[in-house]
Amino acid sequence: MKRYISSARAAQVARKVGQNLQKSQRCISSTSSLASSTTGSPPQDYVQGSTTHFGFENVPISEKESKVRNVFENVAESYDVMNDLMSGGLHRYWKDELLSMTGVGPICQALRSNTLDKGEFSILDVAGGTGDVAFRFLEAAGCPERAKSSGKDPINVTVCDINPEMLKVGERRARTRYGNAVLDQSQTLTFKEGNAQYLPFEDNSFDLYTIAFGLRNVTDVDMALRDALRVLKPGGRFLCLEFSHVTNPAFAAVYDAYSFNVIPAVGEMVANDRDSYQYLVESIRKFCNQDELKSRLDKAGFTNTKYTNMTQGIVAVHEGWKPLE
Amino acid sequence: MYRFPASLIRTIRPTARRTFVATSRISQSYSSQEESILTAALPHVHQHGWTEQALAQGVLTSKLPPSYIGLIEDKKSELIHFFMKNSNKQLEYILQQTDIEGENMTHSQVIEVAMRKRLEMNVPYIKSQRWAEGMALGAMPLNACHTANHLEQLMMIIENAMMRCNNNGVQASPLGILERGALGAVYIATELHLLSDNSTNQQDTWNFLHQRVEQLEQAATGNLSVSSLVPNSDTLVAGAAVASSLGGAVLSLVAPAAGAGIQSITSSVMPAVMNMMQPPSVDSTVGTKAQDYDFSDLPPFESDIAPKKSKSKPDASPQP
Repeated sequence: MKRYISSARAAQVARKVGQNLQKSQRCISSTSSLASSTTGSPPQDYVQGSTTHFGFENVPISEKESKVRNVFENVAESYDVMNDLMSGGLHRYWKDELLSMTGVGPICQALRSNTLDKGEFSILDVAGGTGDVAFRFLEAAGCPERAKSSGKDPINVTVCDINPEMLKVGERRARTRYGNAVLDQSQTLTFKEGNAQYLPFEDNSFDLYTIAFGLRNVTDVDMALRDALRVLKPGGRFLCLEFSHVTNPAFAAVYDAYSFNVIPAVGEMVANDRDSYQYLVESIRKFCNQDELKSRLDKAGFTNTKYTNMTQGIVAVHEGWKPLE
Repeated sequence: MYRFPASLIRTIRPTARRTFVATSRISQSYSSQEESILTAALPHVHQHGWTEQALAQGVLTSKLPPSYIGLIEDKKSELIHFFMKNSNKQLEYILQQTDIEGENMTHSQVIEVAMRKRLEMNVPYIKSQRWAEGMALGAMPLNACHTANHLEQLMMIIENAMMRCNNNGVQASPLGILERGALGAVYIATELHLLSDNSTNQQDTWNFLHQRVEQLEQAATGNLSVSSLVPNSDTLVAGAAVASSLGGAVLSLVAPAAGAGIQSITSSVMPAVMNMMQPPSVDSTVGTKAQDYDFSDLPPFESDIAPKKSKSKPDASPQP
C-alpha cells in the first residue's frame, strides 16, 4: 500500500513534467486525451466517438482490431526473440515477478497435497499467444509432472489470444517443450482463439485472469475489464502486466530516446518490419497511465485494486479482485 | 567500554525508525481476510516452516478462495512478522489482565514475567525446530529493521507494564536508551538460550532469565545512586559490561545475515552464538583470575602493570 502511495505521488510529479515535455518533444507531440485525465475523478469511456488510437494514428473503431491482428500476425514468429532484444531480457524478469505475485507455485502445491479438497485451480492467460506466461504457470504448478499420470489435471491453464498465428506458435512450443500429454491427455493446457472483449468462456469459471502486454492492444479496454470480471469466479484475481508510464522524468527521456530510435530499427533488422514495432512503441505512449488504469479497474467493478511499478514504471502490474458474493 | 553499547543502540534505532516510515507494514493492521489466512497458516509452520507453502496451506484451511494467497504481498516473510506482531499483542493483553498494582510486583518481577510469557509463545516452534529458521529469517537484511521494530514494541509493552508498578510510591520514569537496549539484550540472550535448552519445561532458560534480570536490577539501582555518575563506579562498569556483552549478541544475530542465507545462519552461526551466550552462572563466582594469565613472557613496558591488574580485576567483576 505504501509503495502505491509513493509511486502515485511520483506519477503526479512525472505527469506535470511530462506535460511540459509534450510541448517540446516531437515524439509525444500528438497529445493524448486519455493521459490527461486526473486522479480521483471517474475516467471517461475508453472509446469515444467514431475513432480510436492506433499508435499515434487515429483509425475508425471498427478497423483497430484487424490492424492489431495484422501487426501480431507479422511478428508472431519473431515475437519472443524481439522481446528479448528490445527489453534486454527484462521481460523475463517482469513475467517472473508476475508469477511470484500470483502465488501459483505454493497454492498449487498445497492444492495437490490436499486430499480433502478437489484441488481445482483454473488460470486464464489472455493475449498470451506464444505461451510465455502460461508456461511459467504450468511449471510452477507442476503440471508437466502431473501429465505423466493418467486423468484430467484439476489445475489448468487456458491461453486465449485473438490471433491464431500466435496460438500456433504457442502450441508448437508447448508440444516440443512438454510433449503432447499436457495438451491431449491431462488437458492442463488449452489454446483458445478469442477476443478479450467478449471471451468465449462461461461466467465464473477462472480463479486467476492474467493479461501480459495485451491490454493496450484491445480496442475497448473498459469492455475487456468488464468481461474479465464476468469470467472470474467470485474471489478471483485479475492481474495485468502492461507497459506504463515512467515516473522518473530523467529516465523517461532516456527511455523515449531508446524506444523511438532503437526499437523500430531493431525491428527492421531482425523482423524486417519497421511499422509493427513503430506501432508497438507508439501504442505504449498512448495507453493509460498507472492511476487511470487503476480507476478503470474500479469502474469495472473490481475491489481492492492497486498497482505495482517495476523498473521505474516502464511496466506496471495492476490487480483487482472480483468481490465475494 | 562504557560508550560502546549506548552508541551502538543509538545507531540501530534511527534506522529502524526510518524504515518504519518508508516500507514497514507494521504500523498497518491486517484486513480480516489477511489475518485469518495468517492465523490459519501458523499451525502449518511446524510442518512447512515459515514459507509460502505454510501460507498456501493457511489459505486452504481458512476456506478462502485459493487466489487469496495473493493478498499477502511479501509471501516469504509476512508470516514471521505476523507471528511476532501477534505475540506482542497477546502479551500486551496478558499484562493488562495481570494485577501488577495489587500484587505489588517490582520492576524486575514485571520484566521477568513479561519476558517469560512472551518467550513461552515461541516454545512450540522451538520444539518443532522451526524457531531458529524464524529468527534467521527475521535477521535477514531486508527484515532486520522490522524485527528491530518488533523488539522495540515489545520493550514498550514491558515498559508500560513497569510504569504501573507501585514502587513504594515512587513513580517510575520512562526508560532511557541504554536501559531499553539492555532490556532488549536480555530478551535476545534469553531467546537464544531457549533455542538449545533441553531441560524439562525450559527450566534452565527461566533460571538464566532470572539471573539476567537480577543483574539488570543491580545495574539499575547502581545507576540511581549519586556515586554512579562517576564513570569508575563498580556498579556502572558492571551494568555496562552486561549491556555490552548482551548487546553484542543482538548485533551478532543481525550482522552475519548480510552475506549468508538462512541455511548457513541456522547451521553455523547460531551454535556459535549459543556458545558465546552460555550462562556465566555455572562458575561465575570463580571467574578469570589474574594468575590465569602468564605475564612472564611479555616484554615489560611499565613495570607495575601486572600487579595493578591483579588488584583491580576481582573488584570489577559483576557479582550475581
